[in-house]
Amino acid sequence: MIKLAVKLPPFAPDYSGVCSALFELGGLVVIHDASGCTGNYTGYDEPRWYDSGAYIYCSALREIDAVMGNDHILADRIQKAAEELRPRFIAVLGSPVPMVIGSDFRGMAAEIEKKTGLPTFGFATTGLNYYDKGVSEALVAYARRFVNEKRERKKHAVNLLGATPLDFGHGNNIDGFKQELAARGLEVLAVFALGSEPEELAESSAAAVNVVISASGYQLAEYFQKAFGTPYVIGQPLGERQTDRLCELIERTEGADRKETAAGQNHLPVPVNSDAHILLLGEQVTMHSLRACLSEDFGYPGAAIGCPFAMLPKLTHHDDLLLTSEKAISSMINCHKYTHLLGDPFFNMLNESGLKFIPLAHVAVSSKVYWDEAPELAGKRTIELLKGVF
Amino acid sequence: MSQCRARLTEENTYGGDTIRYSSPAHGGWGVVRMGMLVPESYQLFVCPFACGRHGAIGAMKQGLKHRLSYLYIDEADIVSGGYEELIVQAVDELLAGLSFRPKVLMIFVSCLDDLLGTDHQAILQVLRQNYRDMRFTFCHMNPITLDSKAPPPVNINRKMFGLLEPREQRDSAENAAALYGPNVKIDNSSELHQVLAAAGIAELRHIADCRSFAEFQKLAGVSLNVVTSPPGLQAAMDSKERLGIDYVYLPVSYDFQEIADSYAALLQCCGRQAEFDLCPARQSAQLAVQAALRELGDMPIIVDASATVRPFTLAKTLCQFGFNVRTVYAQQCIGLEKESYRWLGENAADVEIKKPEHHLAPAVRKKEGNYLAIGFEGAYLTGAQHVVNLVSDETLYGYHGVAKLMELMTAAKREKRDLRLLIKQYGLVV
Repeated sequence: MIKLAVKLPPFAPDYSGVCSALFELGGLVVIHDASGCTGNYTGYDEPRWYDSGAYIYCSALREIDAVMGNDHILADRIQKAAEELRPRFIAVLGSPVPMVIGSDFRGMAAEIEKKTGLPTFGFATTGLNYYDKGVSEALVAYARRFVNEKRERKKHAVNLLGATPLDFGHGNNIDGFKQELAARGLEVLAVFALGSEPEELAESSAAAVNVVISASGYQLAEYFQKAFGTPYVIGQPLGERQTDRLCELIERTEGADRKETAAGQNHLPVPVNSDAHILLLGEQVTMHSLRACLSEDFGYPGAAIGCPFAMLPKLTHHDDLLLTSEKAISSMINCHKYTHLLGDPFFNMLNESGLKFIPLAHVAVSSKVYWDEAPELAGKRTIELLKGVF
Repeated sequence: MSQCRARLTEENTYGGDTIRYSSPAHGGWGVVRMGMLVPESYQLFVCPFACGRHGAIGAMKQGLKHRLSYLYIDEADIVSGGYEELIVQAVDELLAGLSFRPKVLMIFVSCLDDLLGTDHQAILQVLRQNYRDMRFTFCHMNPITLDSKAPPPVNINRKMFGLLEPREQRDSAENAAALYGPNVKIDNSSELHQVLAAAGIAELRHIADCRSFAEFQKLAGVSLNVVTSPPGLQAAMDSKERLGIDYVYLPVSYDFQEIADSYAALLQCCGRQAEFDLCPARQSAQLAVQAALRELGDMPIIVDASATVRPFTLAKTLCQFGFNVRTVYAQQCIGLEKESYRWLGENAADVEIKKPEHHLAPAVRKKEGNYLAIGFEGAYLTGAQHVVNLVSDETLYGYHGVAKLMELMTAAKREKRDLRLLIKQYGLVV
């Protein structure tokens, strides 16, 4: 039975992704749930929650409200809170029960926006999809609303798309990325959405190229391309040679036309090696960047990737697998093809074949159990992580 | 409640409801950890995957995950009605894969199930036929019922003690009582144990002491159930009806008169006159109160409902002792607390009463304050540098409980505590 999870915990859900993406942007975010869903996010998917002043709330949905369809009560409560808190915007999100009772989040958002005069988003999150879908939807919705002015293109300026602590922890990974790019002559204008002010995000259409650093940033890159003609590349600056090559690709992309980027020249290709004995398990863009780093910096071609989350076809080799269940993850780990496994420490619980394990904590998987141990990966830090292993 | 004269603040809107803030200090044991008190039990959650994340990570942190698995359901399962069949199949696969055979499988469903009308009895019938050596029960992790008469903490207590099986004969030789309500047992030094002994009850058993399912079943052979915390009351009523075990409801309190009244009720319930001399225990508590007063002086005190199920009574009692109570944080006022709430309104107008989940809570939160907070949530919201590490009155009862609380307050006054670390060590689950 593919839906049985005996050892692994559930991973971060879509509503956590929306909240995480919007966390720093000054909004009033309300999850329409009883309390557990909000607790999932604030307690287990948000390393920034302690000491933060972010306005993330629970609707306190009760049985009688669900049965009677009292969603208008929520709109009234949000209006009251918004009048006192004066947020930049409002977002209202779904959870499993609203999915079943058919809550109309777009309609609710329109009603709240009319009442408050504040930009309001409605996200029909359900708790049946993973965080990456929520991050993606939130970033696109935010950009559609707040990044709407085409600005003069700034040379050698980029945005980083798809950054949340769910993928990058609460350490200095994004700062490290910025430093690596700056060392190669690239300026980061805005990071969607970690560590950038709303004003910086609003001016992000001036970027010459967007850099998609997680699968969650892909749809936003597509939006930028359609809205402003901004080309994009996919990858993280991990390793030294790999980072050099990524930056060269960014420079080439800056001068390329739309047809070239649409034709798939926007990520670092890695030679395919069906005899690869390294398995990289986790978020696809991170793992693809590690695979490229292994190739460029270690001369090791074609590690395989297993990913429980969204996979971009452009990055997917024929040995890569979308892993939709614990059984699928276990089968890939224990298929006797691999000698090394790199991924979140929780995945090692399924390692029954004695694969040499390299931990890479992923908040969306192991939450607070390992979020203080997430390694920094930018540039040569990845080489330090992998040195002595391969 | 609208008659309260205690100082109303901008965060206090007991008259209305609002969207809820969930502070990093919010939470408690959660139903997973509570259900795990049943020895040799295993839990299978049947829910959308998201519903299980906090319980699973909490179980990881508490070393309980090896007794907890998940069956994820999706939209198609809900719409197609395949949900019930899936559970039976999942149990087969789960039990076939486990290296041990649990005595009990607790099948948890989430809020969603309350709206679907799943036929639990039909599923239980099949499972009981298939696995005659095991017990099965459906449990609920459904905070959607939090405002009802059977919220999750009440429900899980009923399910846990509902696993006790009727005995043909009561084991009168043991002459023991069982404790219902608290998640941890009451301190052995509490005079409650001596009062019980005076009433002819040699032992007060707690579920956490039971190392095996067979030992747990001995709780069905006690002569009395003692309920000291509201979530256990309904379970005790069930046990009276189903197992014929009488119960006495003696809710934890820090009020000396209430404590005396509880012990009198206990002795009366056991058919004994009030012969036990409570003076030494009471005097010890009084001495501890005086010592704590000397230590704390006028230091403002914050009381919150994460520390005690009786926050208003504790605040009232502390005021009567002479402490400077500044604020009570409580999201609601349960029936048991209405009298103390009223008392505060009439006699302690300087005491603020606030809702910790109010939407203004994060906006007005202070990061540092020279307060002594009894409870994590009040400490977080006020920035109290002195924190009494107490959750749900754990281990405290009677005069001894008062004395111990005073010691905790004194110790907290003397040393600043790292609240974040305290929360982490306790392992709060929402």
